[in-house]
Amino acid sequence: MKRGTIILISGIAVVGILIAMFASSYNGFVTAEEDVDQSFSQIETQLQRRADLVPNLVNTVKGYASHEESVISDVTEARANLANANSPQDQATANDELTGALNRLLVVVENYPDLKANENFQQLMDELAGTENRIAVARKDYNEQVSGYNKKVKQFPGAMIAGLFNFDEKEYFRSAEGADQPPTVDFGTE
Amino acid sequence: MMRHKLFLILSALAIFASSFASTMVHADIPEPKGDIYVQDFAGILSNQQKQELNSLGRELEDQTKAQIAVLTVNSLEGSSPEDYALEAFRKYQLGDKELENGVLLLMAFEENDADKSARIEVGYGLEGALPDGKVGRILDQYTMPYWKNGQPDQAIIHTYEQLSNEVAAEYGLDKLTEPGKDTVTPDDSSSTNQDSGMATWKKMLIAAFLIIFVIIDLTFFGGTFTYMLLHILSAIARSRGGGGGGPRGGGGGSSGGGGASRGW
Repeated sequence: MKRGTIILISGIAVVGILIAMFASSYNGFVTAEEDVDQSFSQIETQLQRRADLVPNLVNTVKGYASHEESVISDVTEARANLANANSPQDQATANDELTGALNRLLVVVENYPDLKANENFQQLMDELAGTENRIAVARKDYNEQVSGYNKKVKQFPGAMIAGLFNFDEKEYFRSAEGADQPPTVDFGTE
Repeated sequence: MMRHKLFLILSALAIFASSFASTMVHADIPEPKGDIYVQDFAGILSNQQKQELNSLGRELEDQTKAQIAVLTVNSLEGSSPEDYALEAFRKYQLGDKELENGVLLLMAFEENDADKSARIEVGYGLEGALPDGKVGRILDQYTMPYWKNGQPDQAIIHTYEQLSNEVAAEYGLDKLTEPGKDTVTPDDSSSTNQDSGMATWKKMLIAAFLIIFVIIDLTFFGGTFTYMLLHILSAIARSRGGGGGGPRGGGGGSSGGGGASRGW
């Protein structure tokens, strides 16, 4: 075989292998990005669910403690802010704000034994605690996805393809320090 | 060139080490033993009670693919019941893979009463049938009263029965509180006897044929047919379910943190 043909064949082989690697890396990015987006939508679903529970809770509280206006309006306001937040960072902040407002509401509720004994209220508190736990889980899952994705974007050789096709780093869903603890509800039944 | 290789090896090691490190952080969930439905690591239930719950669990799974499991431990080792239950749920893969219809009752028998806790974790697919509020009521009415009264075994049994009733109702079944009515276990010996009667040369012929088939398939079709066959076989094995006799594992389901918890 002539030298020229050998070079040609090996050249074609190398290019073929490169294209195959390139394509699989690109597809890997597409999949990873899709996974990140999907797990973010889980967080959004749970944030929405939490926001949907708040009016119910507020109405129940109003029935027993109507003159605690400032605390109640804090909660309503925080809920509205959460609805208007868009980026992961904004949503995390707004969610923390709502957590804070709800915690203050729960402190006030301590003074109303009738309210605490109300079955509807207890059920709402379970739903709220469950939703907060779901948010924590969704956030953990999302951050794990983001971390895997960001590693891919930054590491060699994926970084080259990521740069070429604008696969940017994703934002983590971070809470302020200590805000990730769901409020502990003490019904004082002891 | 050498430096480049070294870099690759080092980064591979780093990735390996970091993946190892992240698994180390998680709580130590005990490996499941026997049927997935009863994982009694705190030793609360008698053998008879375990059998009854297992056959109730089997019956429910046979009819609905839903899996309800109870996990008792002596300590959560510092985890919150929420984290522990989620990890156990995902490790045991409760519920059907597509339906995600698993439920886990976790009870932590810590030494101090104040640290004792119970949690019912609900898989994605059953969050409609068992919303958090209802789960909280089940804990209040069936789990905690018996437990605080010094009857943890009764707490488990009543809660398990209540959960399976709720799940059965979700799938339009009658109540399942009488366990072991029509389980399929008795005739599982026939299938094992059959294949021991097959001649050795026949087995070898079949094996040789299979190997050639797989090699041809892998070289020319990229393993498509092998994969398809394996898929069909595993589907058949799964649909037979209880007939096989062996312990039941998780169905591949997951949970997103739904459910409710109670402290002491």
